Amino acid sequence: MKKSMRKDFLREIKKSWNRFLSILVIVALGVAFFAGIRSASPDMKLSADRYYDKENMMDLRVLGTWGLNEDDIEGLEKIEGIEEIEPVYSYDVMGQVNDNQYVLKAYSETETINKMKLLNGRMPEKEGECVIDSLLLRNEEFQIGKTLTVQSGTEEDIHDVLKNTEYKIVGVVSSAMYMDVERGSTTIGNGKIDGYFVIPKEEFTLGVYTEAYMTVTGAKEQVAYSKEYDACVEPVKKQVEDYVKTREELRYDDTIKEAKEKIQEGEQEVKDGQQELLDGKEEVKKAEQELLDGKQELEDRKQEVTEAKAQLLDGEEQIKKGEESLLTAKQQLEQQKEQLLDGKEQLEKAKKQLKEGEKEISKGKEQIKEGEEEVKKSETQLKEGQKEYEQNKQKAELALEQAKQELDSAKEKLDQGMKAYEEQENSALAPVIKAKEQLTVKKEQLAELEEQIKALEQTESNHEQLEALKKQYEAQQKEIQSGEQVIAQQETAIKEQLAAAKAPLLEAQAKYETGLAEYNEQSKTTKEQLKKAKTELLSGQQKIEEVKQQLLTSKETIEKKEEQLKKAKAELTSKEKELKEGEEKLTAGENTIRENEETLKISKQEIETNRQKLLDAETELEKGEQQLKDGEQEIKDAKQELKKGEKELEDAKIELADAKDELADLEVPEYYAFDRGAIISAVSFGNDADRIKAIGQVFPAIFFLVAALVSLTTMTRMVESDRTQIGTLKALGYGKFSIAMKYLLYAFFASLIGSLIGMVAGQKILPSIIMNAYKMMYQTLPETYSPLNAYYSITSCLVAIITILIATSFACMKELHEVPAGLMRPVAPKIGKRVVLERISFLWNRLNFTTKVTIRNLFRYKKRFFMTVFGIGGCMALIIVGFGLQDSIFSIVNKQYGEIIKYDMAVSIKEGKKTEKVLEGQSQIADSLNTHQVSVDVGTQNEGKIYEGYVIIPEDKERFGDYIQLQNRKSKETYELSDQGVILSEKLQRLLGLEIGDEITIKQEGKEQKTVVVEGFTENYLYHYIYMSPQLYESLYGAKPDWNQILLKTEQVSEEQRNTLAEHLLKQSGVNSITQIAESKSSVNRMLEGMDIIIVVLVVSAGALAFVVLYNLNNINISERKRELATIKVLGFYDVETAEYVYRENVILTIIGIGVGVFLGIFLHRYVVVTAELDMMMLGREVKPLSFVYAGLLTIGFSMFVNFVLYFKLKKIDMVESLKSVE
Amino acid sequence: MTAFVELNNVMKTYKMGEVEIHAVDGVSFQIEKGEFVVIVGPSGAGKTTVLNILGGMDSATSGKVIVGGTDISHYQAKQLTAYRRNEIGFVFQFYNLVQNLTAKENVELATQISKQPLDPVKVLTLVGLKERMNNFPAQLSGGEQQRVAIARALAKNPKLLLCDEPTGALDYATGKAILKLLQDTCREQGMTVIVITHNSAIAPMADRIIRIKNGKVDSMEQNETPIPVEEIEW
Repeated sequence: MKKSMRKDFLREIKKSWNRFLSILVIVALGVAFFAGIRSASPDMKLSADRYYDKENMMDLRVLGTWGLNEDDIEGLEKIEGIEEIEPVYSYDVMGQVNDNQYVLKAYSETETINKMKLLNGRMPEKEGECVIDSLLLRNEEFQIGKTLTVQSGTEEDIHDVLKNTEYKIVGVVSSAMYMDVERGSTTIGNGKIDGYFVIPKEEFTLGVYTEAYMTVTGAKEQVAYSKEYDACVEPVKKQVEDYVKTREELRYDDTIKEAKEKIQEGEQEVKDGQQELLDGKEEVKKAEQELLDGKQELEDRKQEVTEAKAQLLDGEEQIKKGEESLLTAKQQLEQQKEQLLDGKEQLEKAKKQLKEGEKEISKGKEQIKEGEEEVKKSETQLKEGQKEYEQNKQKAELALEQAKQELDSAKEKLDQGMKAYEEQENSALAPVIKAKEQLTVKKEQLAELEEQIKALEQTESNHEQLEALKKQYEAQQKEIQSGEQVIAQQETAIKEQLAAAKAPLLEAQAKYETGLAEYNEQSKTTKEQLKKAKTELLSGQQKIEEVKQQLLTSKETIEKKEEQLKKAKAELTSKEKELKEGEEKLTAGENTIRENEETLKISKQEIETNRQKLLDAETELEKGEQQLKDGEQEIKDAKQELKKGEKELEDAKIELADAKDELADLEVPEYYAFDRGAIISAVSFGNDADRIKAIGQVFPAIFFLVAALVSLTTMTRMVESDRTQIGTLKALGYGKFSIAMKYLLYAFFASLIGSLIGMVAGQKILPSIIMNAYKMMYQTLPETYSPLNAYYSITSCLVAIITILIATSFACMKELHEVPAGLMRPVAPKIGKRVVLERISFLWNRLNFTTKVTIRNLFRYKKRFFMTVFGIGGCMALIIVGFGLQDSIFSIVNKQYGEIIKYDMAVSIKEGKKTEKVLEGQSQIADSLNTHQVSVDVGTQNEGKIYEGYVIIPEDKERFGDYIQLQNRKSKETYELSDQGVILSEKLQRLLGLEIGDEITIKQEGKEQKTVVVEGFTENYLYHYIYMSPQLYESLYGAKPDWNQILLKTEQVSEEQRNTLAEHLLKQSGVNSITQIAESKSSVNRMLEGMDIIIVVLVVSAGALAFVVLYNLNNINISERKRELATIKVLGFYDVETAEYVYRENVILTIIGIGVGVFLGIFLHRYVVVTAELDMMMLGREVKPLSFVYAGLLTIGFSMFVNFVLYFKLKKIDMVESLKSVE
Repeated sequence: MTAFVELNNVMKTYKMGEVEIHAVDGVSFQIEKGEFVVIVGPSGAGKTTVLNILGGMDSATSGKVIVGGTDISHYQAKQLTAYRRNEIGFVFQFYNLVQNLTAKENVELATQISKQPLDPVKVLTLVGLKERMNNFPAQLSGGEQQRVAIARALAKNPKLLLCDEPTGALDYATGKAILKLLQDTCREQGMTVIVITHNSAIAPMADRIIRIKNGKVDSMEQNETPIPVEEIEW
C-alpha cells in the first residue's frame, strides 16, 4: 500500500468513525451471539464436568436385587480400568420432622466417590446425626438442629436397616448426583422420593451393600458427556456387566447352598431345641424332686438344729457343774497349800532350831575348847607352880614331860589327823572331817569350860577365875561360832556328802576320843604326880580334874545334843521329804485343776462354736427356705420358659417351612450396571446443554446473517460514496487490488476488532447468563465456567471476518469493474418505477401523495427493504420466542393446574389403610374420588426407550372427568376411560411416537410387565400419566387396585382454611401425605421463574439486534438521501415533516417486519419449545395473543428509539448539501 | 416605494478555529418587486452565501435582511422554514428532483405544503412539460428536469424565486431556454426572480445587476434596457 493510500485509509476510518463502529458493533454482536450461545452448551458440560470431578462422581454403578457382598466388591475391584470402588448402603424410608411425612432416601456417607458438598452446618460426627439434602430445605420443618424421625415404609423392621430411628439434622449437603429437583422413584410412600439424607456407614445394619460406585481410570481426564468420555467408560462398563452376569448364578448357588445349610442347621436346631425342651422338662422334673428333697432335708435340718440346741443346753449345764467342782477342788487345793505352807514354816522353824542347836553345839564345843585351853592354862599355871616347887620339879617335870610327850604325840597324831583332814578337805571329805575334829575338840573344850564354869558358879569362890573362865568360854564360843560359820558355809557340801562324810568323821572322833582318853590318863598320872609333887597345887589339880570332868560332861551333853540333833535332822529330812511330796501332790493337784480348767475352757469354746454353728445353721435354714422358695419360682419360670420354648419351636418350624418355600421360590439375583446415563440430573443436564446447543444453532445464525447483511450494505454504501475517488485512482493507474485493499482492510479491521470483542464478551457473558438461568433448576451446580472455546472463537471470528470481507468484495466488485470515466460521472440515479399498486388506479388514486411517495420509496430500495424487514422481523421473532417460552412454561401451570387438574387436594394413603375413615367428619370437602396411583416405567415393545410415568386408576370412571380433564389438546374432544385401553398423556405419545391403537408396555416395580392398548392422548404438561379404568387394571393384574390416593374438591375456602383442612387430614391415621394443588402450582411457578432470565436475554438481544439493524440501515438511508432530504428542507419542510418523510417508510417497514416476525416467531418458538422442553414435561405450543402484542410494542418501541436517535441526525442535515453537485 | 428585498450590511462569519472568515462582509442592496436580478461574481465571492441567507437556508451573523417588508435576519429555524415554504421558490443547479417521483409528483411535493399553491398541472403546462408530467426525472433530459424544478418552485406561488446557477449543469441551448423561461415568468407573472451565476454574460438580461467580489458588493447597477435572452451570447 502506498503511503498516500495508507493515509487515506486511516483518515477514512477517522472520518467515518460511525460507519467503522457500526460494522464493528454488528460484527461484535453477531460473533458474541454465535460464539457465546454455541459455547454455552460446552461450557455447561464443562461446568458439570468440573463439578463431577470435584465431587469425584461415579462413572459406573452396580446394584443387585440381592445387594452386593464382599465377594462382589472384590471381584469388581479387580476389573481392569476400575480406578476406585466404594460400596455404599442406601435405603428408602419414610421420614418426618413434624407432621408431614416424606419419602426419603438414606445414604451412607462416602469417602472417595460421590462426595457430598457441605453447604451448611457440619457432617455427622456421632451416632444419631445426619445431614440432609438441600432440596428438603424447601420444606420449612427441615432445619439444622431439628430431629428427623424415620420409619420403615414397608413391613420390614426399620432396625434391620438402620441402627437408630431418630437423627439430628446437623448439616445440609448437596450432591452432584442430584443437581436438579428430581430424586427418583421408589416403592414406598407415594412412590416419589422427596429427598435424601446421609448418615455414617455404621448406622446401617444391612448385611450387604446395596450398591457400589466406581470410577473409571482416565475418565476424569475426559469431559463429561463427550464422546471421549463415553469411549473411556463404555468398555469398562461392558466388562463390569460381563462380570456381574457371572456373579448372578454364582451368588444364587452360593445362597441356595448357604440357605440349604442354614435350613439344615435350622432343622438341627429345631431338633436340638426339641431335645433341649425335653431335657428341660426332665430337668424341671428333677428340680421339682430336688425341691421336695430339699424340703425334706430342710425339715431334717430343722430337727437337727433343735436337737443340737438341747445338747447345747446340756453341755452348758455340765460346764456349770464342772466349774463348780473345779471351784471346790481349787478351794481344797488352796487349803492344802496353806497346810503345806504351814508345814514349810514349821520345817523352817525346825531347821532354825536345828541350826540353833548346831550353833549351840558349836558353842558348846568352843566352850570345851576354851575349857581345854583353860585347862592347858591351868596346866601351865600348874607348871609354873611346879617351877615354884623346884624340888619336885624334876620328877614332876619328868612326869610332865612324859605326859607332855604323850600329849605331844597325841597332839601330833591329832595334828596329823587334822592335817590329813585338811588334806582331805580338798577331796570334800577332808574339810568335813577336819571341821568335825576341830569341832569335836572345841566342843570338848567347851564342855570342859562349861563344866568349869558351872563348877565355878556353884562354888562361887573364885570370881576372877570365873570371870576368866567366862571370858575363855566366850572366846571359845566365838571360835565355835566361827567354826560353825565355816560349817554353815559348807552346809550344802555337807548335806550332799552327809552320809559319806559321817563315817570318817566318826572314825576320827573315835580316834580322837581314844587319844583324849589316853591323854586324860596321862594327865591323871601327871596330876597324881603333881599331887604328889605339889601339895599346894592339889586343889588346882583337883580343879583341873573337875574342869575336865565338867568338860567331859558338857561333851556328853553335846554328844547327846548332837544325837538329838541327828535325830532332829533325820526327822527334818523325813519331814522335808513329806513336804516335798506334799508340794508335789499340790503341784499335781494344781496341774489337774489347770487341766480341768483347760478342758472346761475348751468345752466352753466348743459350746460357743456350737452355738455359732447353730446360729449359722439357723440362718442357713432360713436361706435354705428362701432357696427353696426361689427354686419353686425358678421351676415356675422354667415351666413358663418351656412353654415359650415350645411356642418358639413351633414358630421356628413354621419359619423353617416358610424358608424352604422361599428357597423354592427364590429367583436368580439380578445385577445391574449403570453409567451416568442412569443419573436423572446428569442426563437432564446433558439434555439441557444439548438443547441450548440447538437454540444456539438458530439464534446466532440470525444474528450472523444480519451482521453480514448490514456489513454488506454499509460497505456497499462506502464504496459507492467513494465512487469518484475510485475512478480517480483508477485513472491515476492504481490497480484494482490496491484500490479494493482500502475497503477490504477497512472491513477487515472493523470485523477483526468487532469479532475479537464479541468473541470474548459473548463467551464470557452469554454462557454464564444461560448457566445462571439453569442454575435455578440445577441448584447444586456450584460454579460455572465459561472459558474461551478455541473452536467457537476461531470459527466465529473467521466466519465473521470472511463473511464481511466477501461482502466487501462484492461491494467493491461492481465499482471496480467500471471504467474510470464512468466512475467520474455521477451515478445514474435509479430510475423511478411505478409500483404494482399504481396499476390499481382506483386504490392508488385514493392514497395521499406522501403515502404514494413512501410506497414507491419502499419498493425502490429493495435491499434496504428486505434487510429492515428481516431485522425487525428477527427482533420481533426473538421477543415472541421469549414471551412465548414464558407462555409455554406458564401454560404448564395454568393449564395443568387450571384446566386439566380440577381437584384441589390429593391425599396419599398409607399402604393397606382404608380410605373411608380418612374423610369422616371433615367439613369443607365438596367431593372426593378414590384413585390408585403408582409409578411405572412406560415403553413400547420394540423400542428401548423407557419413561417414568404414573398410572392413575379412578374408582369411579364416570366421575373422573370432574377431577382430571381428559381431552385432546387440539380438538378439545373429551375422552372417557374404557375397559379396553388406556389414555396416555400427550408428551408420552410424542416421545414414544405412538398412534391411537398402538400398544405400550407398563412395568410396575415388583410386578410383571403388561401390555395395553392406547385409546387416546390427553392434554398434559407435567409428568407422564397413564389413565386406566379399574376394570382394566383388574383384568391386567388380576386384583382390584387398592385406593391409595384420594382426590378432593374443597368448597370455596380461603388459603388458610385449606391449610387447616390439610393439617387435619394429615393427622388422620393412614394419611401419608397431602398434595395441595395450589401449592404445587406456586412451587412450579417458582421453579419456572428461572426462565425469566432467558426471556430477558432474548428481549435484550432482540432489542440490540433491532437497534443495530435499524440504526445502520437508516443511517445508510439518510446518508444516501441526504440531498433529497436537504432539498425538501429547502422546499420548506419542517423538521418534523422531514422526519415523517423518512419515518413513514420506517413505520411501514416496521409494520411489515412485525408481520414477518410474527410468522418467524411462531416458527422459532415452536422449534425452541420442542428442543428445549424436558422429557417429563410438555411446554405449551401456543403463544398468547398478548405476547404478540408485547412483542410488537417492544419492536415498535425499539424502532421508535432508533428513529428518535436518527431525528437528530436528520436535523443536522445541512440544506447546503442540496446545492452541492452530485458526487 | 420601499424595496421588496433589502439587504443592509449583511455579514456572515465562519469561525475556522482561531481564524474568522468573512464569507459575506457587509453586503447591502435593494431589489424592487418584479425585478429580474442577476447576482454575479467569481467562485468563492460569497454569492451563494448571500443566496442562502436570502433563501432562509442560513442566517446572517449581522445586518438586516428584509423581504416583503419583514426582517428575517432574526428568524428562528422554524420561522425560516415557514419563510422558505411560503415566500421562496428555489431552483437548484442540479435540479434536485426526487428521483422516485414523477415530474408532476415532484411539483406536488412542493404544493402540498404551500398555503396557496398553484395547480401542478397548470404550472407544468406553463413550463412546457404537459406531455411529460408523468415521467420520472430519469426519463427526462436535463433541461426538462430543470423545468420540472422551476415548476416545483413556481407551484408554491412564492414571492421570490431564487435560482442557483440554473444553467450550470445544462448545455448552452437548454440553458438559454431555461433562462428564457425564468425571464418570461418574471415578466408575465411579475415574479421577483434572483439568479445567481458566475457567468457575467447573462447579466445584460437582468433588470438589476449586482456584482459581488470578496464578500462585498462590488457594484450594483440598474439595467433600464434588458436584453432578451435570445440575443445574449456566451
